[in-house]
Amino acid sequence: MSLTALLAAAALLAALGLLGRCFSFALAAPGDGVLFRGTLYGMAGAVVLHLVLTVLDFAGVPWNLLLLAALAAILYGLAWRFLPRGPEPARLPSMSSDWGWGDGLALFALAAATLLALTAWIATPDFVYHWGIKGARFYSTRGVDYSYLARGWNWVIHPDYPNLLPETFAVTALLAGGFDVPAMMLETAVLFAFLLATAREGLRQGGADRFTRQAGVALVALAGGTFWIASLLPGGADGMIALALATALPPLLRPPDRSGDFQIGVIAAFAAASKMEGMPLAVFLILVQWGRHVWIERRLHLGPALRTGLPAAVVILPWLARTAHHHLFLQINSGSFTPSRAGVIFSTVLEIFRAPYWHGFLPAMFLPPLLLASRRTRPFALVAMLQLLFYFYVYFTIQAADQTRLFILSNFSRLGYHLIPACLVAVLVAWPGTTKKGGVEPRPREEGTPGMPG
Amino acid sequence: MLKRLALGLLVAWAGAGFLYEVNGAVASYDQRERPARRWAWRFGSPEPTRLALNLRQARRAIPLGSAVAFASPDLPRGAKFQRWRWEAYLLADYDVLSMEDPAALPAAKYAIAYRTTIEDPRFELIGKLPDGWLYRAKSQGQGQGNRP
Repeated sequence: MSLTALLAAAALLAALGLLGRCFSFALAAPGDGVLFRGTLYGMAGAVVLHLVLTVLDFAGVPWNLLLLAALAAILYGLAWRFLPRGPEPARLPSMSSDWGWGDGLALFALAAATLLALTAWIATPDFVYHWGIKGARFYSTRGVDYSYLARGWNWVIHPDYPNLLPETFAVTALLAGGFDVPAMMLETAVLFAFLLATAREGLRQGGADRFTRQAGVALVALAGGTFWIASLLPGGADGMIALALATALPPLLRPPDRSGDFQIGVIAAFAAASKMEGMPLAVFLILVQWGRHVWIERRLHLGPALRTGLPAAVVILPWLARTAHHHLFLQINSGSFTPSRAGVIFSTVLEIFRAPYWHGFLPAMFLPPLLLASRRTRPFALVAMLQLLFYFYVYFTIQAADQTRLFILSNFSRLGYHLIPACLVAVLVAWPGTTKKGGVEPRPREEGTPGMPG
Repeated sequence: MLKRLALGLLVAWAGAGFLYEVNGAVASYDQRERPARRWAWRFGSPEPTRLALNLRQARRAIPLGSAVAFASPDLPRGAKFQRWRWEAYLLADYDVLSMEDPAALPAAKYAIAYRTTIEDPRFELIGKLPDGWLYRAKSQGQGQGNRP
């Protein structure tokens, strides 16, 4: 473990947060808490980093620390000069007034999980199979090495996956001067911290009473942390999908507004850049937000459509182009819909419910249909349910039919991690009697509010 | 009140599960020197550590970026694939392919045999590694004639 590398990882995350903060005029809603804003800024910064690296790859320019630092400084300077600022800090809710026993338990879970992750002992096997090997390769070649990904024998490293996580690893290695596994583990531990921050915010913005907020954040931290450790998640991108869905909960809880559109847009872009499962999630988030606009305004205006859809489009389209150009799509990822697999799929899912890693929390991933009953959580429930249906659709289509059981056993409980933290928060928000009197009121629509001038 | 009780029990249940898993992770970390099962290889467990030691020496002899074939016995069953993937990770700045992949093999300029030997006339032995052997592909035509 190298202290320099850990500092480099921390410095990169701070830089991404600063970069993302340039978009505070669009991303920060007046009611958002400080930790939630930090999470959104980090996600936005990660998307900017991904886009910058994608442009450099298209231009054939090798990644270079000085170049990246200069580009970041230029982007930050331009944003500082020309973009308006977000709501003033004075309008932010106080961070310290609301801490309690649940936050303490969550911090304990986060600290224990982070320390274990730093040993790399609980690193995901997928760090070796694809996330880590890609990160180390991209660091070595100073760019996304498409010819390497396209080699016939490299089908095992999922060459068609989006590359935000390996890119982050590679840039961390550039900053540290070498590829250090604990530094990469630290970055995925920060994703877990962000997840807890968004869970806390979802409960707060959902108007849950103090006890429910504290119990909720502890529940997400302990149940999520249990699986994070037991199922060896550090070093992989599953936390990014879980984070994306949980971060989408606050904007989906309130009526669609300008900052909500931007937030959903950045979250969708982040999900799409993270992992294959993030692509459908991005589409569902955008479609549901568009649908909410149509439901209320009877039509979809260009502004909300672009704010919500454009960030994900600029991530997905280059990925599609590059993946198609280098023939990276794997044939095993698609196939005809085979209804005859229903029996084996449902019996295997029931079998997994007894798997020890979740300690009984896995069925919580099937909460979304119940959440449809509550008007407030309905948009979120729709997104989560579509995502869940997509996972089942995949089981009906990909891989050889005789391997369906093994395939489900290998990933179903991990897919549960994408949904469960956000679903736990949503069910606590929807639970009758948890909403305190005078909870966070839906804010009036802010269409056309440009934010504070810079 | 009932809601508080239910939530409190859920948190307590999750906390117990968390402590159980932390304890399991710490205990297994303390015993990391023990031989691991095939699918339980982790950073610090004996197999990957031995592979890394082996490759440290191989790196000195193989030019950066070369295509390297990798062979190892399938003992225990399935370990060959695991070792190949760990080798590919540990040599991420090389192109590591499996000796079992006939379509890819002609691309290999070097070959590493881990706890086994390579009896392929296309490769010549050039050195010993702590746990195996290092080979170089013969120039084109040299080995082709001897191909079985």
